[in-house]
Amino acid sequence: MTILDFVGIITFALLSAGFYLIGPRMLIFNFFCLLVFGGFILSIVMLWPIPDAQFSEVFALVVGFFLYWFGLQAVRTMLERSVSLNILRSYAAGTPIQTIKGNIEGRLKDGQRHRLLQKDGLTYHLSGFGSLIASMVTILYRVLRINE
Amino acid sequence: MKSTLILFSGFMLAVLSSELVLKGTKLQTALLKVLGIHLFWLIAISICLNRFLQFSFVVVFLFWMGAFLSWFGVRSHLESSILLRMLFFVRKEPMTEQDLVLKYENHHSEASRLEELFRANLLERSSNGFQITSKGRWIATAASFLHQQSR
Repeated sequence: MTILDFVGIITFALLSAGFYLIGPRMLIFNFFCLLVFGGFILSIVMLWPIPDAQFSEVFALVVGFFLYWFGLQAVRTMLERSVSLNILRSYAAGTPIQTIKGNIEGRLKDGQRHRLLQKDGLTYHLSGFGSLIASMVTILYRVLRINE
Repeated sequence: MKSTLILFSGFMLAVLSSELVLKGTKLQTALLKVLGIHLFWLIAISICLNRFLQFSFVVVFLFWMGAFLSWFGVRSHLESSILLRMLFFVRKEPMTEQDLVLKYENHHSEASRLEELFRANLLERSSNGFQITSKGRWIATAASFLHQQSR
């Protein structure tokens, strides 16, 4: 195992620990990840040249850690908001819930808060940003053959 | 950079193979198969890269973890996100909240959610409707653990 491998494992462990310990406090989590990411880059710069390590390995790790950071955020969102996970957890707890109506109302409010949707009286329509996202989603539904 | 290109291409092959297996269905219905596919490609690519280009196994593994988690997160959101589905509906025409709720429930009713969990072997039928399987209980426990740790 090279020094690069060792630094990579420590960075991965720190990002994972941050996800576990910091929880849904996304601002703190992102700040922490930025520090860890920066620490990784700084370590490589200070230790370079690293025996038996290639620059392409460093590049792969940089991309991999960035994707890991992004993926952890996606997983955190799922833990907090996934309807299916909430249904499963309720069955596991012995108090099954099934309704999703409240979730839809909440999501519409989220859509407005994130400037994806605009409300005109009783009607919702897409903002410019919402149109862009909706177009991307449509393309991805078709590419991935997700039932529309 | 040839090695990085091989690594990225290998991951994309794993994603394509997974999509062929999923055929547009939800990740949860074939999660073990998808994990198996990724494990296969991870091992194949890391052996090739290490043998021919002296690329570290650890680096391949760490990259793959990040890339897989991102793909998993994005795909899960695309297939399940209520908000994204709302945007998709409203893209065709402006709608009231009542119309959106009705349209969503026509496409993704509460019953269909339970059917999806049943198809993924996370719930099983019982005399009272559904009950959780051991696989479902494992996932629910892990999710609750991560969720509660944050409180």
